[in-house]
Amino acid sequence: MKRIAVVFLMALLALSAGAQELVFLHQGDGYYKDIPKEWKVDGEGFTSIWQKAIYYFEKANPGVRVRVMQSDLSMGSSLTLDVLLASGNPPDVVLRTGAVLAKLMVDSFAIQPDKYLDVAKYFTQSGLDACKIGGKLFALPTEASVSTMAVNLDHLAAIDYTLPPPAQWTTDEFLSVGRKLKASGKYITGLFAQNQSSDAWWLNWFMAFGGKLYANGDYSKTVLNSPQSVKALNFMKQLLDEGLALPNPGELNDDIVLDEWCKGKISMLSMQIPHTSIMQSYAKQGTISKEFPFTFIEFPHAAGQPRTPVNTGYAIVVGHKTADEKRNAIVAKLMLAMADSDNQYFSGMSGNFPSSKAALAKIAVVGTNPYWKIQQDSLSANGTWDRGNTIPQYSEIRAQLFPLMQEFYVGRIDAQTVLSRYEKAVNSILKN
Amino acid sequence: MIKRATLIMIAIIMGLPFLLMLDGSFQTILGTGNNIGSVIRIIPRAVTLQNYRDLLKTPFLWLLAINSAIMVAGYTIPAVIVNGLVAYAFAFYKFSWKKVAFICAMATFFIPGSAIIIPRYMAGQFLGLRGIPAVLVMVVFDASTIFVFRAYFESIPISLIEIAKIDGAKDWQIFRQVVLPLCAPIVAATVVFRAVSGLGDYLWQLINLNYAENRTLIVGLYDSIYVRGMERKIIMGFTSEFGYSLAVGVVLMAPMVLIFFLASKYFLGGLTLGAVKE
Amino acid sequence: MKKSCTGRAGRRAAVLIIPAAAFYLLSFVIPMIRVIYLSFYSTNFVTTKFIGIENYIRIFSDIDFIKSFFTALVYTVMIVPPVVYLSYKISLAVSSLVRREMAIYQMIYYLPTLTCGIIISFIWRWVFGRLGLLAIGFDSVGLTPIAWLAGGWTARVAVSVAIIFSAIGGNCIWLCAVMLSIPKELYEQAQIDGASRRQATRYITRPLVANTLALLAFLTAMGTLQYWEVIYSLTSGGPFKMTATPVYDIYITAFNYSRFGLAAAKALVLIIVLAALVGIRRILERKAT
Repeated sequence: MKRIAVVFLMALLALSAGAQELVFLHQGDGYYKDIPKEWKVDGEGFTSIWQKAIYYFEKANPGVRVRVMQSDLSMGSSLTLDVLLASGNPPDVVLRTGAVLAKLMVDSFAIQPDKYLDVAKYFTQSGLDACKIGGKLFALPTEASVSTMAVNLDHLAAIDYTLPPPAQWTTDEFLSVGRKLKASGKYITGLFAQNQSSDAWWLNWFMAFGGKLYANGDYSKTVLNSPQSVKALNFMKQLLDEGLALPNPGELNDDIVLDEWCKGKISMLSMQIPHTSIMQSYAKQGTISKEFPFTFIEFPHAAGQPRTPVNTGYAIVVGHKTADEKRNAIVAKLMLAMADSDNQYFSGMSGNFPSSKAALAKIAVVGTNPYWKIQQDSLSANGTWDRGNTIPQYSEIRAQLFPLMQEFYVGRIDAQTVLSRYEKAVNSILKN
Repeated sequence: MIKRATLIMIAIIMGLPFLLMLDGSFQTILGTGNNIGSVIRIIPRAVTLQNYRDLLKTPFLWLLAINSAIMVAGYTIPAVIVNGLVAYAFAFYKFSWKKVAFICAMATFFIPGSAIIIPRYMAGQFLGLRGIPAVLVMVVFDASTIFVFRAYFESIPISLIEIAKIDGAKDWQIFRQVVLPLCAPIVAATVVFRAVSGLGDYLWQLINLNYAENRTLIVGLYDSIYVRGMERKIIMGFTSEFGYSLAVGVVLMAPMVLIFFLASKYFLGGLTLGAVKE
Repeated sequence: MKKSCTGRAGRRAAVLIIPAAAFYLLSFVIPMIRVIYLSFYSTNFVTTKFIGIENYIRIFSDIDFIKSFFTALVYTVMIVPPVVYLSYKISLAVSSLVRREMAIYQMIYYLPTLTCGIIISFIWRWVFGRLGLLAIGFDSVGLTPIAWLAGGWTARVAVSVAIIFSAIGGNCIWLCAVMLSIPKELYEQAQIDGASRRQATRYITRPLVANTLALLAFLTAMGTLQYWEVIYSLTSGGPFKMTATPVYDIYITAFNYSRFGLAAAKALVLIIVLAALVGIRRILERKAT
């Protein structure tokens, strides 16, 4: 009751005082592990990280009020944002996955925060790099999600196998383990192609063979169509044909394969660290008899290739630029408050990778889980691969491959056809 | 006998998923709900109200409910009146431009709602409509209501209308006092359908209602599913707290079922047109 | 035998229709003008560019969009006849029951229509998915389960079944309401005249319900063409893009790809095709009479 009164009162005050009002659009509270459901600071109670961040922001910037708008949460959809853009009323600050906001990162729309803030003081270089287009900084980073292979150690124990050091973790090795696992009644992994969700989990196979989506940040065309990619596709088909991967990828999606890993049906699957908590919940509920030990390892690489780069994606904060420079400066400050919030710390504690130097420092002291270290090591050694997150047509490009994969998996077309068609479709999209 | 058995069988086929849904809403099912194994269990599990308790913790839940109630009123009453009057004109009047009006109304059948949703939103914004009024203004005109009413009105004997006109009644009065009561079954059915539509119109309400305070049950509760999914997994869209999603489904259906039963007395063996013998 | 003083009637009718016309203007005419306008631009609402008829040219080489029209036709054929037939038969049976029983049956048949969005897709996944009811059923009698969602035509069947289930309930409610308002005297008279149950149905019920039935068939067909939610969550338009309807394609083009201009053009093409189809049917009908 009190909270509502406060909200209405604030709105009233804002109207009457003629206070400057900024609109922040976000996707809901970050419910990471251990985030307290309530804080009490200065006698104020908060139930959301954003509330807390906004409270301090408003204190530091008197005369400015922040109105929080909630975006639609369903996957891949940017409906709320689109209609606000359509009606000419964009929010001042938006927080969302980088790929969805890529279309905002243009000179005509986005603030360049480094013009108003010393960004290097707050964020890591890799985080800032993820927010740059053509060398210009158009957003501020929040945390990155990193995914590598989660491995069911019980399955490996049953066939008396230990994972080799990353340098010897090759695709041939993967095949051989897969065959042994098949003999013991397990699938080594799951491929899926029902939709584009979590496609990075299998796109990583292209990178394992040295394939690439784009070369050197050149987004005028795709370079996926290459002999390395053909090898990668044939490898994936081999997994399917030999019965090492779940059958019928056309009707599987990321939800399903993740389910199968958590239930102990497949041994290895690309995922983020927080996803493993589902397996633990299954054990608690009795869906599986007990939790199984697991570890993380990077994707195997093809013999002769360097170690496979890691899949990462940042959520970012974009600010709307207007002709009013003073307003831009304040919006930039709000961007900072929303990007470098407590959320980064908690997400790091759950297994994601903060870009906030403050959060990282805190985590170094408090310590986090061992899998984090494994992923961090792979990340440092192998780098990341370019998903094209800053391309405005990212969503459309992404949707081009999975229908081709569906046909490929049932043998209607061969690997080269997949790549040629993909190349044609994507290049045509990139041209406009 | 056979007839009843068939009806029961059909009822089982149609009703079984919802029984499962109801049953699942009382469990804490963890998992993505992608297979029926996550819902059916041979060994019964402990029943828990945890999902419903969590549901009650949705912020502003009571406000969401009130807004949904407003939606029910706003989707039904104006639609019945406005569209009903058009059907009345179509059924009882002959005028030169009737065909044109007909075609205009029919044309709306070919316009898919989701294709026109953003231009509609932009039109509303341009007129200065925000929030709940913006939602309600655009959903009033409904061609299917017009035509179903018209079909029914045409079977009302014209003599009734003429008698009323001779008595000096105006169209609006005739509509309210003569036609509508005779068509109670159809009106009641329309009310049910419109109410269901108002309670379930996720996309349109999502776009227009951006603040926590003016959202409706369907928008707010749907979002809470994703939020809870985020409690376990960080990527949006995974609903790993599946029992909760089912509880949301049940809660969203409950008002619709209620409205159905309230209205059912009107369209099941209610007034008939046997009131006047020709 | 309607009022035929055209001038006065016209004015009176106008008074009745004006409110509806106002809403019609706001919610259909103005947005349609905007759609037409948008179709000549390429826009994601951040960057906008005038491109003339380029969107339309694109559509002609968009195989997936063209395929979706065929899919819609397939759906209409697979869905409308069963829905009409089943709704009619069920309503006949239900309308002869006691009111309380009637209400319960109608409620249960209406449940599939009431369920929203994602829940529906879960329910159908429980039936057609790889570990679903049908798969378990086939397994238990020793047959290999059909991978419904993995094959193009089988996925179409799955989607059609889903749509049929959700269309029956609403139609039953309408039909029952109409059937119940047929004066009981007609049936009593028929009984006195010695007609059997079946004859009564054939000669009394069917003709009186025919109009409504035709309307419902039309509305169901229109509804089928606009269906996209279940397709979105159950099959994502696949496999092989075989379950996508034009409206689904438009939705994806607009909201996943952010190509609002192209989506507007596609919507216009869809509207014109639909209008043309109905127009052709009308002309054929007129030629026949």
